[in-house]
Amino acid sequence: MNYMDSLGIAIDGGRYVRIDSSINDLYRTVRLRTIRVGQDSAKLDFYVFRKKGPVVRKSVLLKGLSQNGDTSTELTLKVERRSFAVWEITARKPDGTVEDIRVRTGIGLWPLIIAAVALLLFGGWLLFRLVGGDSPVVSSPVSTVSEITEKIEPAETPQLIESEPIETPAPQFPTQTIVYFRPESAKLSNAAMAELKTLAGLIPEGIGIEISGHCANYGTERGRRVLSRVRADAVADYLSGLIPFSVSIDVKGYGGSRPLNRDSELQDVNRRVEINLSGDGG
Amino acid sequence: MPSIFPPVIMAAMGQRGELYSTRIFIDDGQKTFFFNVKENRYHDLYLNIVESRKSDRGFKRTSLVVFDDDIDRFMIVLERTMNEIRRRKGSPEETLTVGGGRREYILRMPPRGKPALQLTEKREDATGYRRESLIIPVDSFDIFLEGLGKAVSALKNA
Repeated sequence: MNYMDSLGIAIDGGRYVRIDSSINDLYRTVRLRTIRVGQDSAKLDFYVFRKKGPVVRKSVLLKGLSQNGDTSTELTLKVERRSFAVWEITARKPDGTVEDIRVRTGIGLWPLIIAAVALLLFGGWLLFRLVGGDSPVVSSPVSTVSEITEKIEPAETPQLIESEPIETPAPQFPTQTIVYFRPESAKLSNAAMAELKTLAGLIPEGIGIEISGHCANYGTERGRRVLSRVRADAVADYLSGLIPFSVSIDVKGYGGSRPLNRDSELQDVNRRVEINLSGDGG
Repeated sequence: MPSIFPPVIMAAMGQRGELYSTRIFIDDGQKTFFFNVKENRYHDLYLNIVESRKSDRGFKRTSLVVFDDDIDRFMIVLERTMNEIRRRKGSPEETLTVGGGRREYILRMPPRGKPALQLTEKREDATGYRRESLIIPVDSFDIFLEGLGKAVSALKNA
């Protein structure tokens, strides 16, 4: 899972740019929210929203952005999941140097508990197989490795079977992209438009596209449904204009019925439009 | 509504319920446009434009619908937009709303790729919209209009 974004910024000092770029999986959302721009530097603020637990904030200061007195530059950001709990954000500066930021997303204890239980069950099953497996109760307890190995019948020599390598082609396009909106607004931000432009270049011909709009849990049910539909239609209209081939797009408005987060302070993540691509459309 | 076609002809071309059908081939046969005149269960006549194209995973079909009440306005907007694209006059975009706002046609030139007409039908359903977009390359406008014209004549005479 990775996400790339190019941000053009003016480094003339004292500016504060609000950005809404994010990447998420089942457990958390990593979001670039703000860029504070200095004379020759930019400070990027990332937030990690989790389903449970506090919001984690991570900042990084990039220096040496000005090239030959230029007052504008471009940063290329890449977010990659390094492990289950650690995401790495790479910022490539215009001079080619790279800054690494590691974000520990803190996924809680449940996965560790589940892994420990699974390990215990597997160990028990392995022991059961080693001592014969006829009865769950070991009638003649063994105490040494040699006693255990004596009880193991010689296994048949494994035979190599030649077979065609199994190919599982990974999709060459992002199956889901999310763009975010400001409260009570269906206007596409510059970041959203840039994201949709990138996406349009990756969509292959013959793909099925479903665009679903969502909104925060405020206002009336009818108002939420209308706003979510208008948001989805704004994305569909912009995206379809960028696709140079025939395409079918399903546009849905789900209102606030499918929130990503029910916390009243984290409703920003619900103000979104999801673009789902599947290989069976067309 | 009585049909202008004898039953034998209707049976031959009516596997999908068409009253009339014609087709054109473009892009060296890679893409086929079908122009079908059909009747729905409420006896409303409509024109079904279907683009069928070859892909790695078989044929892909995209289709849009124009009812006979809207066909004249649709043809005017279509020909006007095609002429503007031919003349490379800016970035033409036309919108035609019909059916009390439940159906909309958007005609524009895609900003990327070869000059072409992107013909989009946006129709409302219970949960949202369905958008079907066809791409007609500028060098195929004449043959497209020829096939469409035949179907429109059949629609008006049906």
